[in-house]
Amino acid sequence: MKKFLVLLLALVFLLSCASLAYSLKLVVVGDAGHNLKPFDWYAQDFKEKFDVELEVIGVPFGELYEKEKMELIAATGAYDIMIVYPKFLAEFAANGWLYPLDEFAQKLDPKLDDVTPGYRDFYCKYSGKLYALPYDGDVLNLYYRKDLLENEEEKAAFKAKYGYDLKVPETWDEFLDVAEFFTRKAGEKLAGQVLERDFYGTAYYGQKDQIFAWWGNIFASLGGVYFDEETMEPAINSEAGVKALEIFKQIHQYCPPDVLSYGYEELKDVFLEGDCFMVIQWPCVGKKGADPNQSKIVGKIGVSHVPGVKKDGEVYYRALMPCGRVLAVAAEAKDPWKAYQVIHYLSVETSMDDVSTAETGLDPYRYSHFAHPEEYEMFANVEDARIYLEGVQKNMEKGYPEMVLPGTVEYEETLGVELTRALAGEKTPEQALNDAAAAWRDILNRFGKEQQKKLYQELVAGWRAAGLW
Amino acid sequence: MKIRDGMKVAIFLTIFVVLLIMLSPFIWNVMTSFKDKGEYFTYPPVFIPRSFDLEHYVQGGKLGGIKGMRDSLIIASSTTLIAIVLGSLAAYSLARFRIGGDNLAFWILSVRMMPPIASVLPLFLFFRFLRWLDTYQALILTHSLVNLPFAVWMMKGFFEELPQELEEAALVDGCGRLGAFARVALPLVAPGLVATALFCFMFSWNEFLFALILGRSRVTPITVNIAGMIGGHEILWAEISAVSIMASVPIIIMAIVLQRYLVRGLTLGAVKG
Repeated sequence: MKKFLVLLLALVFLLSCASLAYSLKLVVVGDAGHNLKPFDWYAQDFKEKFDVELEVIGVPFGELYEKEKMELIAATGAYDIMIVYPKFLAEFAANGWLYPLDEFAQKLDPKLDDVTPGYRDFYCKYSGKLYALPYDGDVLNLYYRKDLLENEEEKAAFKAKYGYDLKVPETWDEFLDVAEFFTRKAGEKLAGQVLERDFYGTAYYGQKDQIFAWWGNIFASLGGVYFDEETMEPAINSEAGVKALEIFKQIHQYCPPDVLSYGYEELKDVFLEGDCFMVIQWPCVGKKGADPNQSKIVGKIGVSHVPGVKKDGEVYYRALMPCGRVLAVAAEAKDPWKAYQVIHYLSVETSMDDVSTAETGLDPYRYSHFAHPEEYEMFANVEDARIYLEGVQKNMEKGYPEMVLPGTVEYEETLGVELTRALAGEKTPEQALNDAAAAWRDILNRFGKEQQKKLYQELVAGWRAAGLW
Repeated sequence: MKIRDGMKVAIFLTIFVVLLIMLSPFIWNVMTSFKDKGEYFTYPPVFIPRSFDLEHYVQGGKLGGIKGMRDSLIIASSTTLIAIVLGSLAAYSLARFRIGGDNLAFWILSVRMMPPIASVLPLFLFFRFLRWLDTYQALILTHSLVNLPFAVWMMKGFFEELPQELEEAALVDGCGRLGAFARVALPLVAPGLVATALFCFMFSWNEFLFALILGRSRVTPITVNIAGMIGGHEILWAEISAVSIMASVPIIIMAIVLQRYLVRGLTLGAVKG
């Protein structure tokens, strides 16, 4: 009997030890693909440093919102760490689905002073509280063909036609001139070579989920705002909105005929295949453009400001900052502190490596990321990397923030549908934007006008303080 | 003789052109599965890839394609079995005994009229309550709910066309009702059964929405796996094509093997008075 008890106790002891040695398993969810790679790369580190094992769930890009929201609504506790687009952040935080991180941030500094203001203040915080750490810094940039811009023959032809020197377009008027000038038919000459196929001045993202940002670049530089701060009346159908859409319609003439179906990939490819002169795109396109496996124009790409509007002798730029990815901890996480340690490690310790490789689509968002061009080894030399980083940083510092209000996904998509209708010629710009504004009023009322007004005023105050408004 | 040859050539050419048009997406997919980056979107388009190695198939398999195929196979086979067994029993009783009058059969079919998106949230909450999220049984049950009405409706038509006298003869010879059903009616509608089973299998194999919402990481059917290769900043075109081709193979094999029954099943009762 005594022996049996000793054996039993030993067994209980061993089982307890085994359970203690068992690492905590945290579940990570995010859009599938190469942006989840860092979770695999540092799996060993997470195990050794924090005694955490990760299970990574990749959800198709277009379905992330529905998938995350459904699990959160039902409070299944399925996820611990979530990759969230800032446009989901407000809704998720307002509903109490995300864990506030301020207390953790005091214990383990996420070095937010090193993060550019747009990301630091608006894409990670909601109603004054920290809910996420940055992971991917997205802003739109103007990419153009350096080689064609510097071609003597083209320069002379441009000057003869427009009366001023060919240069990187600074304003939308110049953008239209350059786009028109470089739009050529197959058989015509481009930089002395006979074109085998049509060449376009530019192209844009035409699908409904992000098209608002390409119109928004013009709208924002014209001084447009999302809502009237006092009345909360949608301001997208303002004079600036209609004018922006009219300019956008003019740009449309110099784009490939199927541009309305373009998403990220198609827009990237039309430029990297050498079929158009310039595109406005996210930062990772600059890195991919330096990869000979993905680009036929390696070494020929310039990066600059998204064009703006000239006012009192100065050009007023406002590049939209759509998309982006932040790391959040679910309110129902099994161990929020350990989850925070994991996201802190990615956002602070490894981020330089993760944004400076062509193996991910992650883009720089910290000042330290911009200060080390030598880390971006995909470029042929440090100088090319420096030009790229300077271009991205310029846009980010003058970036126009995406809304972080509950309902942002719906606001953007309804606007996107109406913009597409105007560009397809189904509606006039004014009519399309009036219809979008009417849809926005409905969304506003559904989410609660007074609450949205309060949040919007807070956002605008923050944007102003950061010099982005 | 010459006219007959000419006709043959014309028929052959017509079939060839029609086949080419209908198979072009599939052929394009096969070619893309061998292409490398830089060959997907080019002008003029690249039809024949530079190399024909199986790298993207291996890669697609590693990215969850094999697991996706296995999960889909488990779910689709189980669903088909449930739909066929329960569906044919229900259809037989509806056809022979007119249970529920005219309305019950239509009511059963109406389950299929509801768009899946309308039922996915209640189902999600239901399975959460049962702690069945991310399990095979949740998807098997959901797919069966959708497939069963289809199977009932299809099989009902086949049983109705079968002369009742055959089963009556069996009953006279000493068979029970179930025996008459299993030994006489069922073998006679076998082609219809096969056609129904194939459609049920294809529906379950190709279903995406329920699979996405009700699965997570343990259960990831092939449709969810393929969609997961569409990243925000990168689309793995070659791997997507490779896994799509791999996913088409079981259905193609089934269709070829069961072709004999399929044609008969689909035309069974096509000419009615």
